[in-house]
Amino acid sequence: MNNYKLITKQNLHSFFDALQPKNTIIAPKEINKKYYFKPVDKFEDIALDYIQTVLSAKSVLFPRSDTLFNYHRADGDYNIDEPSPIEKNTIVFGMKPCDASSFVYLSNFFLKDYQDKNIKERLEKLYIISLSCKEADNACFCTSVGSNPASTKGSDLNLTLIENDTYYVEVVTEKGQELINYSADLFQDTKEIDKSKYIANVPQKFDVEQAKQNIDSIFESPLWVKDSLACLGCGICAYACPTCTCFDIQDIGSQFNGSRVRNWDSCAFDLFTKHASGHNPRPVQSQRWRNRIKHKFEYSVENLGLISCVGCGRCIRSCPTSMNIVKTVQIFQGV
Amino acid sequence: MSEFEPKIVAFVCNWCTYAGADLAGTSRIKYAQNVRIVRFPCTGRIDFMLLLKAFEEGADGIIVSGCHPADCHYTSGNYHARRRWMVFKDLLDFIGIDSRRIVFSWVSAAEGAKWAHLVNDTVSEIRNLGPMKEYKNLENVSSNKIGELIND
Amino acid sequence: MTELQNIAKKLFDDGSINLLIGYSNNENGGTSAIFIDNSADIDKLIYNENCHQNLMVYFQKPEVKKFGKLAFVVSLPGLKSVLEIASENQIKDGDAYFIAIDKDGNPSLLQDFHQIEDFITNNQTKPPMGLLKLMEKINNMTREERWQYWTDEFSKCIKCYACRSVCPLCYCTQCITDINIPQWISTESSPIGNLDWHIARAMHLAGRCIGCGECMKACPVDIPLALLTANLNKSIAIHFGDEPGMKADYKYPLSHYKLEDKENFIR
Repeated sequence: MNNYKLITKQNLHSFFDALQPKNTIIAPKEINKKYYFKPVDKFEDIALDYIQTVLSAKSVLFPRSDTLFNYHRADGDYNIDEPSPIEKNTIVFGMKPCDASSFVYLSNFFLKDYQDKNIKERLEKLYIISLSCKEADNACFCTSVGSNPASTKGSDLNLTLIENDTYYVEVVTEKGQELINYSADLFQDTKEIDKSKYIANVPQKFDVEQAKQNIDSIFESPLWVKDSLACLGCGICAYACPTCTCFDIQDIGSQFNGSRVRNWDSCAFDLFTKHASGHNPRPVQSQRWRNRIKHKFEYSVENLGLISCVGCGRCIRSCPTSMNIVKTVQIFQGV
Repeated sequence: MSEFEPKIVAFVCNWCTYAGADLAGTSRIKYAQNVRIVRFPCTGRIDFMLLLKAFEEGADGIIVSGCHPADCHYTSGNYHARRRWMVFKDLLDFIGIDSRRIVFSWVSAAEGAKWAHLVNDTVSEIRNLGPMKEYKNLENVSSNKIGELIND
Repeated sequence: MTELQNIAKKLFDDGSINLLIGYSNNENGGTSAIFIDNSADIDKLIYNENCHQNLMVYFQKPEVKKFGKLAFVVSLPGLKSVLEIASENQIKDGDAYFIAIDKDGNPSLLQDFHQIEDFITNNQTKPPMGLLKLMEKINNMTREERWQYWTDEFSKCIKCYACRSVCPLCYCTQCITDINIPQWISTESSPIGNLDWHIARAMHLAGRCIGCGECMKACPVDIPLALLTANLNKSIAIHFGDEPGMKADYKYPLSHYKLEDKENFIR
């Protein structure tokens, strides 16, 4: 389904007020000149003109630490309870199209073979209102990975700011229509319009099909070392990434009570591949960097048929040593 | 409601304070029952992580005790420990953990009575400070509430 | 060619070094580390006030070590970390060349630790005012307010360990947080797990942190991490009169002692 509407900024405020009481709303918020997704109660708190948040919104679905179950011992037996993964319907308001498209990858990853209960329940109650990009920066490269600043992939509703403080609304899914129905009279019907003149220009930095082929064929190359000398092996890139899904399951507690928790993990850590014997099949950072790049453009294509990079540029912006995934892909483009 | 009974964990060295506590026992000196003693080879072995773990596991107060200066079985373990405690205490103060909940002391093998006094004093001080709510309010495991799913 | 590039070129021409780690402009309008292994790339070498990364963090990276003889472009904090690392016997006099950048931005080649010590004494700068003000502000809070302040700050932590990775003094081959028998620091990012990690990190850097502030700059959620170690260093200076990063034969205050150390807090 696809239908088109218009809403003024003022009415968007009213729309938010209509949604707010019954839903949890997560939206970008400015904190010390950086943007983070936070639960918001007031429309005024939402940053509508940001370029990108520091961390992605994947934690709505796949939190940093997710309790799978709690156990406690009573009367010689173990009782197990599974905490409810999500209470209210949750709306992510104003995420960028690149982020919205990451949810397509995330749902594929978590639901394809094994249906992850927590993720499934959260996904059912999750609504995504995306906001086309007016501005982009050097790190943005969505157009290089098959997306664009006004893509509706993964969104339920997509908003694009056009003239006179008016937003052009694309209702992409049934869920999007459900949201509209909260206050349908705030919207005005319209025809499909060409969004291209209202959105940011993001130059294409590499050809994704070419990149897939190149990265596929190169495993042993001195370039991996040369390109990753600066990498120090922290987890910022993976933790900021909207599609990095690696996790580590830990039992926390004693023999009497505790929890099984799923935490984020990162292939940049040396502990990630370390065996119990002490042997590490990926002993040096260049091999870990290679794994990251190959996973994004090769392994996830093999497993799910999708590349796991949406071009949000978060890893580039937050890397303390300015490692740059685009630069790496370009290097192998030239090989 | 019954009166608050503080839980005290005592990290003591094997050669002096543990023997001192033993002497208190063999001398039939009665002291508060709130203390759980953990024996270490030396105060030099008592890492700050152990003290944090004790708080995490529900201790309201901690006693750290070993040999008097110049008495260390390993010559200098207690001198090293002394420096570490000074610095650690300052860090706890800076973070806002009540450093009065950690009591440092020297108790020799001959000071059974001093040990009993130390435990009694500590118990009554911690009783006045009340339960260590702050640490207990910190959750060990993240909650699944949606507002907190976003790491802020 | 700039003077910096001349010094670098000379080192390569002499055959003194195999790899030079310095700064260059990057694609995003910032500066980042550049690894130069032959004199042809020397024209990319720059230095300006945006070059903040403490490059000494690379001195123990296995892939960097493999190159052989190294040279680093370092400003004051970098040189302090050289001396601190030297005092921990991780680097010996003459192991590497250091192109030191003084407070006016002029480069000079230093090799032995005495030269570095003199350079540091002559180029002392004041710690950033913002940090000192914040430290004072926190110290003036009540204990409850301080606890609230730090639990709020730590609650932001996502445990990406960037603070550990960018620190030139966090060079342990196995970090305490990676040890799981026993699990000293829980791996999830929970209030207790985060508090444990930040206390452990700060304690392990007490009297060793040279105050480059890289941890704070790297932190994606802006936790004022450098405050913890700065405050610890302050108490070390008060109790023992020591300051890290000033001398190559510095004695780590927590592995040394004096008979007359203060003990009025011990019963």
